[in-house]
Amino acid sequence: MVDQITCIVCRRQRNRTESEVLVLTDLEKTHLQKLGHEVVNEVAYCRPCYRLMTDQQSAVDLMTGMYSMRLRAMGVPNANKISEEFKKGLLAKSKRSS
Amino acid sequence: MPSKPPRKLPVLVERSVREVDTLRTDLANKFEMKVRLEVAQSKRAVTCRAGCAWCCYHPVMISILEGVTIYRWLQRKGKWTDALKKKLKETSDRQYGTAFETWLFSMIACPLLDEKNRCAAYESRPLICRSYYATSDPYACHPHRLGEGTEIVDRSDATDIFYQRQEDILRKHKVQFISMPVGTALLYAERICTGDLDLASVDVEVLRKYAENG
Repeated sequence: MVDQITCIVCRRQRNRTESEVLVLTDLEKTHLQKLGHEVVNEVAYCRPCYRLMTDQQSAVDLMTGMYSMRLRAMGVPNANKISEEFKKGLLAKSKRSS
Repeated sequence: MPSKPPRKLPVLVERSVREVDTLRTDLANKFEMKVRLEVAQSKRAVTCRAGCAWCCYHPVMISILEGVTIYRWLQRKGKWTDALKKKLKETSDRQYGTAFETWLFSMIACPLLDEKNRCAAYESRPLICRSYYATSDPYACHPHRLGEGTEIVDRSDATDIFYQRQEDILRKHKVQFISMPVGTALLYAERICTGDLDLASVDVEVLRKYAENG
């Protein structure tokens, strides 16, 4: 049987061999724990999502879009404004890391 | 490498391309009339304006036949340049196989959108684009804000007929109807028009690339 993964971005099932699987370090796992998230050993991306996530501009837009959608689904009234702030934060971080 | 000049297509393929082009123009004209009527009756106004290009970030998929009509128009107008081809290739690589929601959120612009926020193939743009008429605040068409506040004139009548007819036409050529991003369709269209690829092999080629892209 083919080993399948679920893409962390688009939630589509893909063959492990045709995906990008990142194994988390202990430090990353601790960070996840601190943030109250489920601690996982690895995160997987399908190829199209990985291509977008490795491009700074697309990655920032993609994360902002997903964040904005979540906020709106939760009924947050000023979702657009909050997500614009979130985007500014991401852009500042990406500038620092580049 | 300079582009190869387009060749004459086989008679039956040529007939099919022309049929799709004519149908597309007819449906777009009829739809425009419908919009005018609806707007007049409902007192709603179309809010689309030149320079607003949020809908050019929405996922748009077209068939190979529509791709050929757009490619030929770009060729005739002298707009089929190496720079455009490069842009088509880059965008196609990012859009191909990408889930619609991911594509939308990533704000990947249509490769035909120029630096002045205008469509490089406006007079020959896909039917799905020609039939996009927003009646809500243009702000609501932004890819990150699409949702309850977005209102457009229902275009399913026109697009359903178009897709159904293209499926029937392609079946006659023993080709599956597969829709693909604009950039991908235009690059395949060039290969068909210059004799590098037969229309009959397009579906196999597209599915192979899809599998490769993941």
